[in-house]
Amino acid sequence: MKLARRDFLKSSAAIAAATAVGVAVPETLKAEAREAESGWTWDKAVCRFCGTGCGIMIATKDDKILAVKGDPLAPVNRGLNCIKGYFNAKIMYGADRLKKPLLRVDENGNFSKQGKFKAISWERAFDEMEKHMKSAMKELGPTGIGIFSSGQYTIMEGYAASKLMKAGFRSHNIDPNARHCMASAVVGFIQTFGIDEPAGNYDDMEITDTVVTWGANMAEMHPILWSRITENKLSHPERTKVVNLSTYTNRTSDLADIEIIFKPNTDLAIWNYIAHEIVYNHPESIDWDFVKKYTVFATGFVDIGYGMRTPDHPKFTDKEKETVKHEVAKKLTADEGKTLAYLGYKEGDVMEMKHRNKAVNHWIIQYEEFKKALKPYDLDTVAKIAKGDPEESIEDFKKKLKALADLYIENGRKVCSYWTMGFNQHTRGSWVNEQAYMVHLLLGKQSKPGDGAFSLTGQPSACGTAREVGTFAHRLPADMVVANAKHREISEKLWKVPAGTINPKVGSHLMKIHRDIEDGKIKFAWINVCNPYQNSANANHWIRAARQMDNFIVCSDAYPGISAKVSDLILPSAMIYEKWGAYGNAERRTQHWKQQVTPVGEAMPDVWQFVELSKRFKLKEVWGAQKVPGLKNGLPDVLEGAKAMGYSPEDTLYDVLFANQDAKKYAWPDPIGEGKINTEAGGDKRKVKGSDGKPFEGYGFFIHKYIWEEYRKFGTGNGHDLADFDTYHHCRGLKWPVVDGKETLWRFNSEYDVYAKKADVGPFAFYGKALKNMPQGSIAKPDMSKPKVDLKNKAKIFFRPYMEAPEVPDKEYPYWLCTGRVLEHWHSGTMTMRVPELYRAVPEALCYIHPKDAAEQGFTEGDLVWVESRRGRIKAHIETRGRNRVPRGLVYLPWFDEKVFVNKLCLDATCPMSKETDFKKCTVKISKA
Amino acid sequence: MKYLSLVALFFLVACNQPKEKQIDEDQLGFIDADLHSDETNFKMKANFNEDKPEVGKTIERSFENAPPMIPHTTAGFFPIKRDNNICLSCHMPDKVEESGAREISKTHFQSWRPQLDVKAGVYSNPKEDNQVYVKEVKDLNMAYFNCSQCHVPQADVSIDIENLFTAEFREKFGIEESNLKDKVSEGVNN
Amino acid sequence: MKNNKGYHIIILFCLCFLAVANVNAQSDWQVPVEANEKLSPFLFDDDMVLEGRVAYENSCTSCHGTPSQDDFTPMSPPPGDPASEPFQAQSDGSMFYKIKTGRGTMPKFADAFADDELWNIVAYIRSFNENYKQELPNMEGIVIPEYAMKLSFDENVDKLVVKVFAEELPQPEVSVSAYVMGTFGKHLLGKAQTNELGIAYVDVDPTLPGDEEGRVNVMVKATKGFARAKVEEHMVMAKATERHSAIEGRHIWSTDRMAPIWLKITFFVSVFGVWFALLFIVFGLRNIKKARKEA
Repeated sequence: MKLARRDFLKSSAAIAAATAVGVAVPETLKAEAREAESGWTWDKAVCRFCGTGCGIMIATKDDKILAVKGDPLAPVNRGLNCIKGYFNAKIMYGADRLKKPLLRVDENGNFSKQGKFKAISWERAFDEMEKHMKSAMKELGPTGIGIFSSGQYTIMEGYAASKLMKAGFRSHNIDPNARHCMASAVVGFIQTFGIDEPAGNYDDMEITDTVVTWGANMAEMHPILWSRITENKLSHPERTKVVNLSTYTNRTSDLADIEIIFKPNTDLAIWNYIAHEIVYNHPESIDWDFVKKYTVFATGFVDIGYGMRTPDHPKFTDKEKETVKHEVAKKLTADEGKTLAYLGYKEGDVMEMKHRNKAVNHWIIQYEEFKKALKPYDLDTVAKIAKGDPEESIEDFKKKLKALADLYIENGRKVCSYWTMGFNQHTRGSWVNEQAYMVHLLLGKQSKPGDGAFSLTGQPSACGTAREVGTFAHRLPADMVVANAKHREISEKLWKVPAGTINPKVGSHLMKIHRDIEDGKIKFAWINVCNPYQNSANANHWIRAARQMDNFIVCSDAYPGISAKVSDLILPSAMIYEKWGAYGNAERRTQHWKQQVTPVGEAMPDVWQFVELSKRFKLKEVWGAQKVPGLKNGLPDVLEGAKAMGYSPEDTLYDVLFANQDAKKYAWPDPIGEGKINTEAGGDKRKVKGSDGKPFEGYGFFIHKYIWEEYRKFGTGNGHDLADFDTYHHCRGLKWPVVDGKETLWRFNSEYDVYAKKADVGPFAFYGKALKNMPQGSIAKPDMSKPKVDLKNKAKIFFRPYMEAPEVPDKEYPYWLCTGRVLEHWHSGTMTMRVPELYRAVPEALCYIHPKDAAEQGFTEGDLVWVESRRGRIKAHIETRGRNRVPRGLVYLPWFDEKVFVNKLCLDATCPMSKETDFKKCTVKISKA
Repeated sequence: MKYLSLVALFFLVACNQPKEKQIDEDQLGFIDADLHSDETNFKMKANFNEDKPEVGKTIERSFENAPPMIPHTTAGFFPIKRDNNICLSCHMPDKVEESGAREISKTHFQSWRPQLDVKAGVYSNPKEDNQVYVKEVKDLNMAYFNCSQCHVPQADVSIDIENLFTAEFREKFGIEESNLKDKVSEGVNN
Repeated sequence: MKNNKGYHIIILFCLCFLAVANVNAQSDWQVPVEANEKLSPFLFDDDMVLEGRVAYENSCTSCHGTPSQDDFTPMSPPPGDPASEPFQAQSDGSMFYKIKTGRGTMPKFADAFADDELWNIVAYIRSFNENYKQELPNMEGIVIPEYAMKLSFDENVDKLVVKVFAEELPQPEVSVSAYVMGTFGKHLLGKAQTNELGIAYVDVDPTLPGDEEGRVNVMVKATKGFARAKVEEHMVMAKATERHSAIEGRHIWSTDRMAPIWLKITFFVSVFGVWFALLFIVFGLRNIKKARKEA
């Protein structure tokens, strides 16, 4: 062994000597070298996990994955992965992988909600789905069905699901788990810029001088991006500064120069403090050229509630009503009295939530009013409001806040702000997103290399699939929206469906789908690539509704997680490398991969599931006139229009949406897929008996390519351009808009963005089109008598005040509960808990608590405790010396563990604008178990 | 004799009628969390390996060139701080002779990231973007500073979760050593 | 002789002294004026008498015996029968004070019983006096609200929810105690006070055993000042007890239909086989008989 090692070291030493210091050694390889030694085939793919979107290389042999390494060509990570990335090799091999469809049946084999699961055929599975869907739609119309879609769908899957649901079933009750993740960020983008997704890209991390992380534990959640920031920081230790703002000390703090622990929700106050510093104490730092030319000031309503249902809802328990009563009226606290004084409120006033349904409304104000509203946010006031660690001195805290503001303000210092769930999962998440842009726009530090506010995405394709394809209750592809008639018309044309097919009424967002199921308004739900019964707050309600009420829940999953256990029908689904697909990461980079191995058992890809389901529905069953609650006159009959387009009422949705003339033009086999399997297009060696009972041998055409090329048409020419299918297989992804084969590095910057250049208004152009014709008003309300203002190519600087969360610690429930994740586990743990190395790294979710709090309650390290909120109670072991060092009065629980079901405790309050649940703020009490 | 064997065969067949299995929802998978009760069957909190460095047994790599797991305790070593990375004090090449620790992989002393091209303040993708780029770095490549993002300790828990992944190692020392430095560009094509 | 007479006199004197002491034992024990005038905040009713009886039988019978039976333990001074005249002559407050404070051999029951439990004992003792009329405080101007209670179970957090109303208005600061009634007594779940919304929450151990559906008999008492209410309800709150057949899993089959095929066949083959053999033998015997006849 020693000998071999010495030899090895010698050879590598020789190479090292030869390369010397700082001289690049390019090692290009030809395409023929794809086949490596010992029969191993390497191919490029994308990591299954976070929004960073690293590239990996997968080695396969004999239809099995043997190894994973970082992709040295992938610009995102350049050959380095994090631990989850490396274990992509093992995630598909858990022994309890679902292999056959399972249905709950009684002793006679008929469906029964109280029955146990039994293996059935795909044909029977689709029969049951068809039966229950048709009965739900007959009883309740298109709004009686729902799809829990996902930010982890491939782009093709998302597109197929969206098309089937919106154009086929005419329902918009399709909403992804990205609603829990990025919805507030999306609202922030659309309201500020009129178009979704970040302007910058990951290269900012190497270029910038300052990295400020707000409520984002990048060290654990975006490890590769953090390694890029670490490299920048440690290579320029004096120049580069890192600041971590968080409600508890985490691994990100360990690298930061300044760590600011703030009280939950007070991020709103801290941003306003920075703006106050700029406006009152350093007005010379405002880039007036930029602000005057490219921005306007705006504000909105504050009495918008908290996204909860009203207290009179019959399903609330009395305990819950203690919090829910704030949804209609809330007594303002001392802090709110100060920050809402500009509207005439004071401490003790009862604020009635009159504008719950007008939360997104905003109007333009003048700079003077903006400045006046910022007056209360001076250092002393904000420090008192925001200090989160009771054991820190107020003077220290003030020093840190001032240092943070100085970093932003410093002339010539590039600043990048990063945030993820701390901002988005927030009852005022849309506001705090807008505030990030407020500061960057005021300083002119936006859309420039190394300068900009960057909203980090959590999921691998929340951008690429959920947001860009529009698998939301209110969206259509390429940033179009359901409510806009013109957008519906464009979509109908591209989808080749008759005019009037698409439902004009927005559907139910994810929490509303749960609530509708509880109210009996939705009786069929299909779960795809997500775990809504584990990931949604106030879980006791939804689980009870799914199990005890009359409905039919279908779950397509690879492993039996909580959602599968709650469902009535479970469909085994192919995992990421068992199908062709594409993901879009946080920096707008769309990356494709090919199928590497055959799926296990009878698992089939989601695209196949949607397409097979579409075969069961004839046009006459779905495109006739339908009643829709809340829509006057309902949906029109479009069968005549269909006939005019050449369809017959006897055609199935399959014929119209998926196997139409355009689709068949894309033949399979296709040169790009040479040597690769394609289960949907050509079948695979298992010859799974499909929905017609016969062995499935493929559709015969390249459905993925068809979907991609049709989807592309939505974005081409309006700022969402994507390249053609084949191009993505020859490169490591491209950042859209991809115009003339060139990707866009920094958007809205005429130097880099073709569209900004085309707008021809100067070095910048915020060319997003949404919400660019806005009324004017005063700081308190809009003035409809004044004319609306056209905001073409401009962005908005919002003023948003500080408000408290609806549930704050009191005597009975004295702790803040913050939930989140750990590095080693992904989301609900269904994949990572089945990898032994990751399971052994973090075997259970612990309750991180301050050692003094634990001592005061008489706990010792490792004790089992009850953590109880107004909505539920769970058991967990405590940890006082872990990776998360919480301040007194706060506990932290990650949610990857089925056995520590944190969402039983969480409050389903949402941002009223984005409908995103606030998972980070509710209150609990802790007692010994 | 013939009849006896016939009779025996008959019984064998009659007794082995396969029964259609009905699966309880709590037994669908290995994680047997009961949805409807708050009573979770918790064993004790998992204990992590308390072996001091050097005492613990090297953990076999999960697959070829996988990042190795940490065979000793990390209490007192984690969290890794900006100005205090204890891992480096034993594992850096100039310290291994003294400490007897495993040396950090040579790949951590290379940078595979080309720099962006800058012309007159305008950035563009590096010209080496489509090639495997390897640059030797004098001390550690700081992108590898956060050891804990790839290398983790392992707790002493019984695995209820079985994983059917099988590793194959092509070279003998691919198990204990990494040959990633030489294999980094294997299979990579444009 | 002279000595005997002397002893007689001493004994007589002692006896007289004892007798007097006995007689004076009761009336000797004076209580402070405020204690004497203290009145029970509760109206003595059958429930209190029943509760008091249990408490009395556990704590008082050992010395005082059963009231009206005069079977108290001979001690010095004698405890006396609580149903007797000297006891009943005193005021409620005096009785309450004496039980609570104790004296000499009589323990101080303040440590063992709460005030309401002490009043239960007083109620029980009074129940043996037909002529007793409970003295009530001046109720001028005081309206005793009539409580209505609604019970429910919050299964999310395993709490019994008690709502106390009087004429549709929620009643705050009402003391609520909840019990689970069993065959041989009751089990205290907990005591709580209603909040401003008139709701009190009592923690329930979810592993409490109930019937097949998890139902238990819940009894809740609400008191505040002179207002009292009690409600008993059969509700789902506990763990459902699954009643298993004692031979479950141990019998091979329980109905003919569930019997395995091999067993059915073996059974019938054996039965028929035995009958066949019997008949064969019988007919064989007949043949022998016939053969003998022929022979």
